[in-house]
Amino acid sequence: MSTTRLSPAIGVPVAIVRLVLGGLFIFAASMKLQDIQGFAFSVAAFDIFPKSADHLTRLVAFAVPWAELLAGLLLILGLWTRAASAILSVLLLAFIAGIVSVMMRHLQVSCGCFGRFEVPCTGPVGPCHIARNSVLLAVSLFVFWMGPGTFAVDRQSD
Amino acid sequence: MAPPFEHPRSPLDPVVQLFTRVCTVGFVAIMAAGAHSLVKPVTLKPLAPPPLTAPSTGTPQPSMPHATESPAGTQTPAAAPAEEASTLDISLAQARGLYDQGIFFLDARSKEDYEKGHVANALHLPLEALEAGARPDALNVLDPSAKVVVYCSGGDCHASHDVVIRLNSLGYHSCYVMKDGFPAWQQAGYEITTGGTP
Repeated sequence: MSTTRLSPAIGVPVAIVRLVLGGLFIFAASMKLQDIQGFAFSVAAFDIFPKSADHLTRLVAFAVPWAELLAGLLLILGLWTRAASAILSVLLLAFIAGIVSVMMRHLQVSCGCFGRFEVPCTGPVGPCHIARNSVLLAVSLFVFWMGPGTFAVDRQSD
Repeated sequence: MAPPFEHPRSPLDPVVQLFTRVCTVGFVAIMAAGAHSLVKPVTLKPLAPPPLTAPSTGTPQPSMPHATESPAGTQTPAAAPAEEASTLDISLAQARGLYDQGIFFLDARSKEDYEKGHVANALHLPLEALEAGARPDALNVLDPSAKVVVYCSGGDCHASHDVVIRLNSLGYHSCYVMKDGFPAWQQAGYEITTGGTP
């Protein structure tokens, strides 16, 4: 991991990437929280958990948006940046694994990732969703590697 | 003067710090999720609708186009039996009975399937139309207190149950699922139409 302070020429772009990533996940979380029933239904449709384990589906349906919201806020603030990006990376890996699992089982499942907004992928989950999440994963890992950049609470405590 | 004593930093310190922070955020997220689930619980199963009773002789629901007339050239089996156990899944005969009472039918299949053929006067309401809290036009003609029959392709098709869950969350608590789906309706020779939503 990079632990040295970044020069402004690098720190500002890194901060912009961090802010965009944080904002995107705050948006995604707020869309899910606005229609938590819909997201619970999307999670259930992935058919990852057995029918007898509805409590796990409910736990995921509530915990994922809250984790996204907290991680997004931390990224915006530049506080605990690496922990926040690590959480988002793990979430994105889980999303990709879930989508691959759905595709292998030929299920028709809607993503529910951004609520009623489907950006940039539409329709049932597929390769487009994997590509989108892979890009976001790469961005998240980039933030994890580079640290908070400028305009971050983390920098004040260095 | 000698410098003050400092504990040597372990190379594992950043990893431990990262792990602690990740666990803290995860813990807070799960606590928030738990509180949220208490305030606004979600359901993953369709609600059981009221038991079906024998159709009343006088007042069919007025808004369904076929409510007051029995279609010509089709057989009409016995209406829904009186005081059935409260159940979500209903048989073809029960569905037919409700159809003759003027109960709305909703088609939960894809647009392509719907346009190829659907129960006459059924509205198209796929799951996608109900996602993310959207309120499709089809719901504007449905009274939340009225009975509704939802169907898809029968067999292992889950779309109708999924639509019922969403309708439940929108306040529609009298939803029934024609478990044998459209193929059984078509096979029985009941009224079907093709094309878009009436």
